[in-house]
Amino acid sequence: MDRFKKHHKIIDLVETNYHLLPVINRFGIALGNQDRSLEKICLEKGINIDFFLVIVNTFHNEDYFPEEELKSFSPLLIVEYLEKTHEYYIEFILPKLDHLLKSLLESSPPDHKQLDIVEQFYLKYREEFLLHIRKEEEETFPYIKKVVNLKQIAADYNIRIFEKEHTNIDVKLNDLKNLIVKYIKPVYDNNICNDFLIALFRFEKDVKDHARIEDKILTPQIAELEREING
Amino acid sequence: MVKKVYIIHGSAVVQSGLADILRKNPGCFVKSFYSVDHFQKAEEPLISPSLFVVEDDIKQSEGFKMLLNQYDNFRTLIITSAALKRGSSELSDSLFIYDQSDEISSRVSEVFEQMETNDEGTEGLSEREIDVLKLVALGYANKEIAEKLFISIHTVMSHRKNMTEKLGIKSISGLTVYAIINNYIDTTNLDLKDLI
Repeated sequence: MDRFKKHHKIIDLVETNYHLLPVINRFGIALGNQDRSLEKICLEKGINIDFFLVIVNTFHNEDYFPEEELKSFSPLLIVEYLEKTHEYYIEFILPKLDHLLKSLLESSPPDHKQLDIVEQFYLKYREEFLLHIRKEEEETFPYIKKVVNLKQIAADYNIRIFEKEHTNIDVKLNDLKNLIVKYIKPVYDNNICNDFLIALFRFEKDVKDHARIEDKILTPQIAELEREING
Repeated sequence: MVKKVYIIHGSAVVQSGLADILRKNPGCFVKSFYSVDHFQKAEEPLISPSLFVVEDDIKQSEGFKMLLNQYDNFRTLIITSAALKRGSSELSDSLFIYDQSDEISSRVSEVFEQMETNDEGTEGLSEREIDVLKLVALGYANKEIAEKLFISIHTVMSHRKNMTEKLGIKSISGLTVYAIINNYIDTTNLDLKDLI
């Protein structure tokens, strides 16, 4: 299935792509909706169905680009969604990665210096990731709110700057996987290591899809508003 | 190695069909474009290609020739509907639109195998690359590395590019970790936290 529509059900989403589970939760939708359609569930929860569909479709299909639908909802909805995603990373994913890495270290002999170095690298990545999130929440999102609510733009900032800051973080996450898969001596519990790597792969995918929502939906929306304000 | 295949073909049917077949090849990352122009305007930064599969008249176009100059270490196959008999030498770099999916798969795997065989020869870093790696890990900038090793900045950059391609590690901290675990730098008097 390459495009989800109003009449689909949660089971259609999840069976096609189970990575959508946390995405659905971010909208405040839990499971157990029996056979109700997405449209009905959204209506009950007061969620804008067009917005919901744009997010799940962008998340699910890399080539999907919502041109027309963009105009049908406020960028502030996206900001709210992104803030929820950040919360999910901070409260659930990072602690999970921390925990798995800790178990991995405990499963290896105490003098496994290579893993200690990998831990340092992970901590550095974690710190930069949090910094990036904080920057979005303290600079980018307030800027967007100003553009949308007050029709104000800044002389020294525009939304295209925001887009450029993604790549660096992805690179480090990829390096972390590469270092473990290719170069670290495998003196540890293989199953724990696999769990850690699988969690990294899934996190990487989620972050990539998250970035795509920022770059393909939010950025063009705000860029358009900036143009309008500039006249 | 990650196999990055870019399809450039005007037909959506051919694009998706081919992409479906190629994605079955393990490690294959496939992206489709309907023209050279579309490829050039790709929104997301593209990783350098391992293989281009292009429509026959696109291969002859000026635009495509210019595009090839931007990359190295890749191969190009054309996908053609021309009703020529296969097996003739000029078609050794072609896929035929009426080929069955296993024929296409095996042709493409063959190309990757050849590329990997070439690749293995470069496994491991050269001595000069290790010199550059040590200094990168210790936090020196390109200009300083060039001065210390008596080489041009351009050469430093080209060593760094090769290093990154060989190791699959792009960030400076990642390279530093690699240098430490392989004992290229002595960390006894250094604080790991500052270094990485």
